[in-house]
Amino acid sequence: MKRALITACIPVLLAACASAPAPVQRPATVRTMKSLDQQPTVVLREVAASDRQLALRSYLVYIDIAEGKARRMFAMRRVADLRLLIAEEALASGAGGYREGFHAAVEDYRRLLREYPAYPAADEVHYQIARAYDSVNEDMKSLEALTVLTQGFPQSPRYLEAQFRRGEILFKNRDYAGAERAYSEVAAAGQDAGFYEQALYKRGWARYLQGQTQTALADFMVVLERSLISGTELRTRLSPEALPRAQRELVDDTLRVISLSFAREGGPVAASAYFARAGATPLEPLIYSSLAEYYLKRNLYAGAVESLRAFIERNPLHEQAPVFQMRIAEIWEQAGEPQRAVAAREEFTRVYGKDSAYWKQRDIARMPLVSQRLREELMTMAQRAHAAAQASHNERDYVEAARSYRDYLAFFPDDDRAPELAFLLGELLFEQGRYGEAIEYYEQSAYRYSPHARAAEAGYAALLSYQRYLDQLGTAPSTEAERQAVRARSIEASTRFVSQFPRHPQVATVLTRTAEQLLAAGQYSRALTLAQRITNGMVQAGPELRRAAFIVIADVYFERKEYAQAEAAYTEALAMPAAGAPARTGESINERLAASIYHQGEQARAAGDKVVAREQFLRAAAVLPGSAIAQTAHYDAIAITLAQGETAAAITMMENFRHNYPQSRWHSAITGELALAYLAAGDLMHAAEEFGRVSAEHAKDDPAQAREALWRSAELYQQAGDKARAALAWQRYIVAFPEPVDRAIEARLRIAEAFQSSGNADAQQRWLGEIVAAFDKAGAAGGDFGRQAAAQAALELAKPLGEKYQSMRLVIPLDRSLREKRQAMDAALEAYGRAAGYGVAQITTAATFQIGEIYHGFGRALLDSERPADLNAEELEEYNVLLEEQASPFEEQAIEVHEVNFHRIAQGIYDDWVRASLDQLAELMPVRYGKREKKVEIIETLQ
Amino acid sequence: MSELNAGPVRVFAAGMTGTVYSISTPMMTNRLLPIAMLFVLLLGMRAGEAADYRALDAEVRAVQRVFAAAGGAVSSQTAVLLSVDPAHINDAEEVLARAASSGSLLPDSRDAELLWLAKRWMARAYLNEAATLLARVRGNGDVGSEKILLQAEILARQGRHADAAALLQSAQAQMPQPWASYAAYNLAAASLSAGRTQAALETLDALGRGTGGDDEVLALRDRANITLGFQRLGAGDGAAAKAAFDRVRFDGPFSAEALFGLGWSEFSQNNLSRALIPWAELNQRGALEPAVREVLLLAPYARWQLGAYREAVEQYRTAITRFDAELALLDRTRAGLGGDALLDTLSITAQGDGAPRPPAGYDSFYLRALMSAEPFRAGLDTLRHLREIEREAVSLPGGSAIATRANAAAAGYRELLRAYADADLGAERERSVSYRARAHFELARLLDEVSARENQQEGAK
Repeated sequence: MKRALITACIPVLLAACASAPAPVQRPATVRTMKSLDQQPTVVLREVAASDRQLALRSYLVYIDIAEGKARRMFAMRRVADLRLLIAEEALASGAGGYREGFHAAVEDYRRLLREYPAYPAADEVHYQIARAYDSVNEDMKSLEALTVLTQGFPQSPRYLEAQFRRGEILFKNRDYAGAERAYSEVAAAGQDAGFYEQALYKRGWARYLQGQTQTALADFMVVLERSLISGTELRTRLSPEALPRAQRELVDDTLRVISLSFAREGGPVAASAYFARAGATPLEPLIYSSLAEYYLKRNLYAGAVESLRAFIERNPLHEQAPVFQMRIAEIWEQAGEPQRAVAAREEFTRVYGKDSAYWKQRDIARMPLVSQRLREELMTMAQRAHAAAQASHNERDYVEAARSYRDYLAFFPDDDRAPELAFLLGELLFEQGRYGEAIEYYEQSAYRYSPHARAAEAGYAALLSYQRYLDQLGTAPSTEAERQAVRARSIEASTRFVSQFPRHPQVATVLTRTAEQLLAAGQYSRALTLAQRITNGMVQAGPELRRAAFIVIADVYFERKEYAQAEAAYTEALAMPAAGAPARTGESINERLAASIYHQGEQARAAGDKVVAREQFLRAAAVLPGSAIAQTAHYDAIAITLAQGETAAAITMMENFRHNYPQSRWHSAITGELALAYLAAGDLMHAAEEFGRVSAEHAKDDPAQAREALWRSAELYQQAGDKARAALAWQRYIVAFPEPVDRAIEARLRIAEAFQSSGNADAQQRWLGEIVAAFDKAGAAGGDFGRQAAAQAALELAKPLGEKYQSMRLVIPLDRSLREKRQAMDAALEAYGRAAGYGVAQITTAATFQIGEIYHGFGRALLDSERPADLNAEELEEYNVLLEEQASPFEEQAIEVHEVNFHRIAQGIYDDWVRASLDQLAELMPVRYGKREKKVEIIETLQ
Repeated sequence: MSELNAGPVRVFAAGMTGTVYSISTPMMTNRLLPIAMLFVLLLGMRAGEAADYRALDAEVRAVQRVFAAAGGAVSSQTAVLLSVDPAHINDAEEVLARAASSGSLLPDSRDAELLWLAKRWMARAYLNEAATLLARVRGNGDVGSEKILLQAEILARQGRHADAAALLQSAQAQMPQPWASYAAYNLAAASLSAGRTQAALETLDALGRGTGGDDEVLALRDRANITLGFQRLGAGDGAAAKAAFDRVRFDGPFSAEALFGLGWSEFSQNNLSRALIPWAELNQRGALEPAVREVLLLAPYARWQLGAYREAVEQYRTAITRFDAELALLDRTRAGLGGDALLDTLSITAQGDGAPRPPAGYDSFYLRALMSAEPFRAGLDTLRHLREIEREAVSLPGGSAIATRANAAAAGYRELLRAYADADLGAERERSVSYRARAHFELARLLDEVSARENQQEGAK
């Protein structure tokens, strides 16, 4: 290739001419050097043929004649170098004579050093000499030159290489200790000084061959780290394939010898011990796998597996750990141990499952290898375990299969098989009775993916699962919250199912059930909408479903208080045949129907339309006679009738009601209303009778009302003139309500009065005694009324005794008469004294007066006594005087008693009896009491 | 040379009209300069030392005296030869007086004779004595100008450069041409030596820019431009140097130096291809003078640097061939000078004005330069006179003894001249060998580079 580049440097002549002044005839113009400016130059830029021999000869000539030391040294050096080069070329090309060439070069170098002992690059020369000897395989001479270099030129840039080459020669000649020292020199210079890795690698070998495995390992590790680690990461992941070839070979060799070393020291245990001591390194995966391959090559499967396990044990969360685990499975397969392989695979899927710590901070998408293996293994595991579970119903198989499916879905949610797997997982869980979880996966299969063959099936299965799940939850209150939640979800699922899979054969059923559930959940609008899809024929359904749908519609209207529509729908439902034992029997629907009508009545009533209301109530009552709603409706109709003032009609309705519903809770209310109605109708006897019932019915629950009703019943009897029934009622009252005492005493009083009016004195006397006895027994509890009544009764009781005493004359035989009178006197005094004892002013003054009169009467009775017939006048006189003497104390006594009454005036008590006592006093003591008006004044004045 | 002194003794001043002394040029530090031999160009030839002649001078004077005593015709020049030793100044004056009385010496040429004698003494390094002699020169004009130039030279040779410069500076204005030009040039030289570089360069520049003048002035102007150019090159100003070199006449006596310098000016500005033009011109000139020798190495080097490897290799090989031929010529010349015949021929050839012309087969720049060098030329003159005495003495009574004595003295002079020539040409030979070695070295280096480039290209493939 002769490529000539011609550069012609031609000055611009024209320009020069143009700028030059017009040539003037100038005699003998002298030409100067300046004229050269216009001369062109031609330079041919061409390569020349290389000619080492000519160069060598030229240098040699120069050496012979040159005077300059520096250039001569240079030339000598070049001569030697060229000779070496030429020899090397000869060696390479296979031409002969190279041996002589190398030796000549050595001689040239030696001459250079001889002539210029201070040659500045003497180290280079020694290096070249070593190189020349090396080329002719004269190791020892090469070593010698290198040793001269290393000993004489420790600062030489060739020093490390020389040491390294020394190491190589020594190593080759099995002087491992010497080689180790030489390599150590290189290593000591540090990692940036060159030959570092090679020196470490070879030193590792030298040490290894001397049996110093541990120190050898340290060297090998550094070599690997330098080749493979960037920062803290392995530069090439597990595989050193990304490295340049030379470095890859170094790495491979290093790994091999590390494996040899660990194998020699006891295998994976030794490796783990080493790392435990020397510290962890990112190289570990590489080293353990290399060790495993080492064993594998020798068919030592257990050793290989142990190696991989050792890594996993040390680095359970290492990114490569799952790869190692899979490798274990592969090795077992290779070893013909399928069971162990399967176990290893299972362990793989178990340990590196979705929830494992391994995946906590990792993204499977970034790990295609592990991802692929997991995909395969999980699928295999799932299928195997599922089949096993279906055959054995063994819990462990179920768990395993479920875990595998679950992990698969979690890892590969977008996998093509995901919809099918989700369905299968649902099936699996369903089989296990784990309905809650089954739902999750059925629904995932049904709705999460694009439409697929089993989507509808999955969707329906999910609905079945909800049902089972609810059944499973039972009725315990503790699960109520959950049940509610499940129900809600179930409804949503059903709705979704219906809209998603409208052609599914179970759509009508689901629709109906869903409507029912929505209804139950209080979602009336939705329930109504769904149910109407059945009733309006949008979805084909049999009569049972239609009946159920009408019920839902009716219930919704009912709940919405749209009772007329509810009544219509219930009526429709009743028209549909019910098969088997429906949840809603005809009776229960009728109840709702009645209620619907009843509520219409209520609404009319609220609107003030009492006529319509009563009509609706009566219609409701007729739907299901005897039912609770009928009773209520009847009752409400009565109430309206009563309110309308239609007493007679009301009485009839109430009597009917009481007849029809003897046990009704409104029974007593009806009785009360009836009593009032009779009263209003003027039928006192019936009224009294009903009040008596009222009292009896409320005896326990409302004693006060019972008491008043009985009292009223008694009074009504009395008003009706039926004194016997009245007395009977009072007596019942006394027995039933002894307290309050005053009220019971009054009842006794009413009885006494009744007997008095009927002329039955004895009975009257007896009831007066009852009054006194009741009060005495009760004491202060008898109250003022009781005291008054008791005092009055006591006074009444004393009255016949007084009258009998006053009526008795003293006759002969006087002593007997006297004695009898005296006894009667005592009885009367005692009776009046008792009446006075109640402290009732009016009664006391009456009793005091009567007592005074009893004393007064006895004196009079003495004076009026029958005189003995056998007395003479004198004797009679004398007898009379004696009588007067005898009668006087009684008068005195009478005065004293009346004066008690008299003194009551000062207490503000002045009644007829006080006045009567004053009259008696005026009679008995005219002087003293004849001017009583004045005296009173005096007394008042005195006071 | 101009007809300085018309008249019978004009021979006294032959070739010695203007004395130009050396200006040392700073060493080229440019790393591109392959060999720092530039000094050779400017130091001029140094053929032997003045002192070496002194030992023989006495015998020569004795021969002359005997010859004269025997009635031999003693030329004024011969007479002056006797006075080369200041110790014999009276002899010289006596001879001169006699010559004057005999009418062979013009009365007003006394100053010229003094000047001539002073120069002889200066050639023998009798500087103080020469200074004393010069003090006796009274004339003005040309004589006065030359006197001052010589006085300044003595001061310079005594190291008193500033004094020399001051002397030239003060006298320059009154000098007629070409003395004023010489004074200016020497002023520049003295200023340079005194370290007043800027003043020196200004002086040289003014001198170099002058116009007109006779050949002597033109030659001086060329020389000033050459000196200025190299000074500027030394200062690293290639462009300015080129301007100076450009002014040098293409066909003048300093054209070789100018071509060399011009090439350097371009080279120093990295205009390598432009440098090749003057160097090629120089190469075409046959004579292997120092500048050509340099260019033989520089031109291939420039081509090498320009990537013209093939041409460079060729030119190095051509250079080696030429150096080989030069060495052969030098060896032949030295061998020739080993015999009497060539020296005797040279002694006759050297006579008279104009450039000496060595005989065919021996003609070389170096031999011409040697013959032009004052001490060697003086030696040749003496040799020639001794040979004349020997020849003429035969016819004189007792002449054979005189002839024999003259012959012996001539033999002594021949040895002396031979030694000078040998030293000079030997040094030249060494230089030539060195150049040749250098050519080999550079060729080898170039080939190394060619190989390296080949390897590189192969590696790239």
